[in-house]
Amino acid sequence: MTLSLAIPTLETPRLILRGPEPEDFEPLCAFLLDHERSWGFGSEKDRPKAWRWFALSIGHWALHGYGYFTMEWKETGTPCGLTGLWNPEGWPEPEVGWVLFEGFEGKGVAFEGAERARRWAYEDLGMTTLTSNIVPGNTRSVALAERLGARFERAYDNVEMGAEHLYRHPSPRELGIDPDDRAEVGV
Amino acid sequence: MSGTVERPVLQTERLILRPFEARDVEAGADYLVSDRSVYMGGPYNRHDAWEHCCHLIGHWAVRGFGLFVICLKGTDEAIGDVGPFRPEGWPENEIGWGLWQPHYEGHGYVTEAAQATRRFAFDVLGWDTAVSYIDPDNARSIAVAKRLGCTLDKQAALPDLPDWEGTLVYRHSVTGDGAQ
Repeated sequence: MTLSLAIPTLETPRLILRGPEPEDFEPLCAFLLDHERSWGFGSEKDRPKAWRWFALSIGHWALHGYGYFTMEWKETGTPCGLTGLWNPEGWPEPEVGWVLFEGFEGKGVAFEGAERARRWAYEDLGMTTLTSNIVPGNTRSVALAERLGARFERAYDNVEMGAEHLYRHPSPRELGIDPDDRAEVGV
Repeated sequence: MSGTVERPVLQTERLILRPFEARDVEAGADYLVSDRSVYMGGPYNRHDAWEHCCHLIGHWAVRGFGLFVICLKGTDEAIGDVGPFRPEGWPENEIGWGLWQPHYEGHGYVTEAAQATRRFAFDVLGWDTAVSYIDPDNARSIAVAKRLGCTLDKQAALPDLPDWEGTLVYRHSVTGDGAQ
């Protein structure tokens, strides 16, 4: 008996999006423990909590068949952040999320990765709508959501993050993705 | 971590023990939101309980081992979890257990299951020792540890976590299987 995690590998001009690997823990942990960087995503207060999040992000894939990819900078093979789809118990609906590790801001990495993950959700998973939940005041994330074409829809109380703003992404059709052309995907 | 992870299934006289997986999350979360989880850091809210269960699945992927769910033979209903556990922050390997439903108490299921997973940890994973961390007020778990032949180890280190002071450390012996 085996646990099968059917996590695809996706590609963009500069990035590989792949499933989490054990060596991703250290850069992820550094990010999660750095409150300045991770407050908008959800900081963790110690290594055990950061590891718990890492492990649960893998379990999330097993439950939903989607989750957070590690973004790898092609040129060096270095993990440079996360992007993907997140929908734990209590979430209003699946969301596109993104974070960058230190040293990878200002290159358009999050846009490139999140756009690819969103296209995967629409083309390959057949999702018909997506959101992003953003903590008020996280202006960088709002700017990226808007660059991705997402628009503010409503404020709500998130079970983990408290007050959040829900942004709605363009539909597949608005992005020119015809669901009838969807690739056949075997999972 | 894409691909597959080996997932052993253990059998005892009365039980099937299989790795914690996606279909066990709801039952596991029901336990964690109940008062029964008071000695496991609970009760949790539903979101935290769900995330905790997801992390038990990820534990298998990262470590190659983890908690098994306990099913009575002939059923596939998980009634508890048990087995080798080593999250970040633990100073050594643990054999953990939890019985999710009160009406399954008193049959020795947890002892039977813990014995089998301990044997798995020693024989297959190659552990040479293990502990179980138990709240001093958790009399039922202390009784299980004693039935398993564990001895109180007052020198053992505890996980360096808030609210863990006073937790008892019961040590398993690789030589004496010790079940009574």
